[in-house]
Amino acid sequence: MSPPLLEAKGLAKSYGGVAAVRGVSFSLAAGEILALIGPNGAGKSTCFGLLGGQVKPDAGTVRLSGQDITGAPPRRLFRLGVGRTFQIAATFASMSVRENVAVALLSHHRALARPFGPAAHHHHAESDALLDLVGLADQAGRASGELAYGDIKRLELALALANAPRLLLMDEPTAGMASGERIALMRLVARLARERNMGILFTEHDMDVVFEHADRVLVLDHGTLIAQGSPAAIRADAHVRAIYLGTGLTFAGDADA
Amino acid sequence: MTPLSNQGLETRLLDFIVAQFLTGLASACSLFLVASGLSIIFGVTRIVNFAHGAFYMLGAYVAYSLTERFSGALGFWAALVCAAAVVALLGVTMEILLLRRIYRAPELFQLLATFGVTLMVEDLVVLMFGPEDLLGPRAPGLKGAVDILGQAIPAYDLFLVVLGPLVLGAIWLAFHTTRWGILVRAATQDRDMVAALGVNQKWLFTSVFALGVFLAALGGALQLPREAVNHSMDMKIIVEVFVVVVIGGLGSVTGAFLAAVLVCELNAFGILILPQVSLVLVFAVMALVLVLRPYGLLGRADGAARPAIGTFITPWRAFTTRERAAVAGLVLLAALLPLGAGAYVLSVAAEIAIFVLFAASLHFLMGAGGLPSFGHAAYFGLGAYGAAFALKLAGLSMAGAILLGPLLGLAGAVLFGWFCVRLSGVYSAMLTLAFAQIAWAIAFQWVEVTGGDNGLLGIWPAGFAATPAGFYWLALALAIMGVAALRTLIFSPFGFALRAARDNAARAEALGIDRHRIQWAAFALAGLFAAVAGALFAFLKGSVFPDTLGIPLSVDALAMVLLGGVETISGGVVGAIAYKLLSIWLMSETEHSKLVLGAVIVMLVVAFPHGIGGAFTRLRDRLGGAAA
Repeated sequence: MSPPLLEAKGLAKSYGGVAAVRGVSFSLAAGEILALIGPNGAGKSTCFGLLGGQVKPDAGTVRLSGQDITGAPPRRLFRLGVGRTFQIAATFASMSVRENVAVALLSHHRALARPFGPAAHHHHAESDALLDLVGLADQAGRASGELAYGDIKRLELALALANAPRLLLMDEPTAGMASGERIALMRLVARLARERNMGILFTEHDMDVVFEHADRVLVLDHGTLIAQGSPAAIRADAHVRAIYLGTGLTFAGDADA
Repeated sequence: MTPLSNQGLETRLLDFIVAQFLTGLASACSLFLVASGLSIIFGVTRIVNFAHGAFYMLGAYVAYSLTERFSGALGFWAALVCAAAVVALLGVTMEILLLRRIYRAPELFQLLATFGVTLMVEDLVVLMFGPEDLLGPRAPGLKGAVDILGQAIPAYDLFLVVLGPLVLGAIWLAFHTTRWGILVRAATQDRDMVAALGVNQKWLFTSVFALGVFLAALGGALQLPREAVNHSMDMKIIVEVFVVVVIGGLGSVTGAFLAAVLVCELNAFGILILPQVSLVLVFAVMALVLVLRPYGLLGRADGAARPAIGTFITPWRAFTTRERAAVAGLVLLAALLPLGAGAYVLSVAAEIAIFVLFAASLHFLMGAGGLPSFGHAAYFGLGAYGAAFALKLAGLSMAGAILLGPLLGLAGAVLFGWFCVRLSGVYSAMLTLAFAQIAWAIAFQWVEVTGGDNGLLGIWPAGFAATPAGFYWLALALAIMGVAALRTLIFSPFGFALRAARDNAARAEALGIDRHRIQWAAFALAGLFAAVAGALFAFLKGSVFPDTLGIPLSVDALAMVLLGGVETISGGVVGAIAYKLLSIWLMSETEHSKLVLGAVIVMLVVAFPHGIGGAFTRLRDRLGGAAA
């Protein structure tokens, strides 16, 4: 049997005396959409940092298709086909939307070290396709710093898709977006996962988004995985309910049940 | 100094060390006062107050005139405190009238404004107090010396040794027990949040500025009994203060105290133990501290700075066909200059061309790379020395010297840049300053090779470049090619990667960009182009002196870039032409060129908060928008 696309084993990280993540293990198959949820402070962002190379783990391993990538820097993960979006959307604010995409494409094609010839002339068709995909084609010439926040999130997705990743890590992909935009963005992501057999791990606070799009859900609390399973199973899990009720959050889906 | 005899040599030596240590501590007092002021101001307002040295100098001058008027023992001390208060008022005036208008301007732009003020103050003190050194009175009651272990220590020095920690304690108490102090500490961590909580930021900034300037002026006033007051003491102290603040950690008062003691003791003992490297020692230690602790001894990593709401930069774009034609026309006009100009005008024009290239190289580093440098003259000067060595030592022709000389600047940039790109923001800029000072000190002290202060002479252009017109064309051609190359770089894939790394390091890394490597390459390139300018400069002047590596030249380049506009691609070129024309013209027209130049800079800063180039861009966008 071939190894899973992403496999975390016994990941742990402490800040000072505080254990943010303790012994987290899970795996993600190609084409699977996996949601990582948990109350504030559960360790979601630390988990993401550990997987995305921003944070070095104290213990544990991360494997990508069997290859050990524990503590690999972000730029190596990019080369290995991992795409990443950030909780606070990160783009190149002084560059236009198309130039942002050009940076990502040039990097993907390993042409960024070239010191001559206008960069804007490269990979036009590819950048058009990416901008079309995320719905930013009509804003290609605008400064990315002046985009609305939802559009910045979509631009970030375009950047993360530029290297045709096999794994996409998305930290709160729809935070700060209007509900219509959320649905459209997640539908796009789900479609890409199917079409390209791309694995997706995402964190999300909006349970509607999680239960509608995730194939499987991981629940993190106090740095420990307390449950994992299908959305229906997680929704029914008493322990998970207790945690979320404790934070005052209820599942919107329950009203219909 | 007591002569050492064989008898009891070791105890005498120990006594001497104690005495030297106390002298170092006494010197640390003033340095600490000035540095803590700068550190507090930077912590809260994020302004690198270049005028801090000028306020220190004003403190000394005002204290001098007040001690002339006030009489009696009480009069002396009252004069010191009053002087500091008067200068603090001046500082507040500057903050309200000048800095408040430009808090929203790009990073470091405020430095240009305070640099303008410094130039004005330097000329003003000469106008008001005369050019001579002024000797102040000794402190009443502390005129004598105290015998400590057989060494006579001036009583005033001991007073300063005690005063330093007292001031540190007072600042600590003010910061930890008063509401104001808590706000200052909060603002140092996150000033936007403090503003969001309803604190009146304007007056918080002003009060912090008042305290910072008061401390600087008090530091100057306290030097009155120790050293003569003169009109160049501002430059001397500002460099030391930068070093202290950076070693201690920006925003940390305790760090400033520790660093002031460290620096003064290094000075006190360095001159005894290693006189040949005494000039370098402090800067070498600073470089070492920064490499080991990138935010200084007690400094903390900056919280991520939020971009101001509503400010975004228009994406850079290449010239349109019409703009290209206009630039070609200007270049043609410049090339035709020798037809109607004499030797003097041509040498001025060649110098401007050289500085256009120099400023463009710094602009590339700061604008596209996001790496501010306070020591860019290092590579300019190394290029000049490289050309001189190639000509004098290797016996190459002028062409060979201009071709190979800059490699010395490239080597320096490769070496220093490796360290600088690993730090961020002002710390990185300060490290460039330290490296430039080290390079300067080597040129100054390695007399056998560099000729030291006497420089290297007889570096004259040959062949077609021996005529003023010929040399001007050479300088113009190299400057145009250099600027064009830098512009091409900015729009090349490499330039995109560089700008991406500047805009958002985390995103760039996640897209596979090796930020350090790309910035290192940019640093080396900027150094190479600066070195080409330096090599030309050596042939323009016919000589090379250590001041081609000096801080004033680095500051000039910085002023050119900021004046032209960091955010505009042509900022370096525009700034260099404006600044150089202005300063050369003023030098020939008035004896108070610094006063006028400073005033003009201050006015330009207020009128064009995005630099001259930025003003052009805005005008073009507005006209273009109306036409479309």
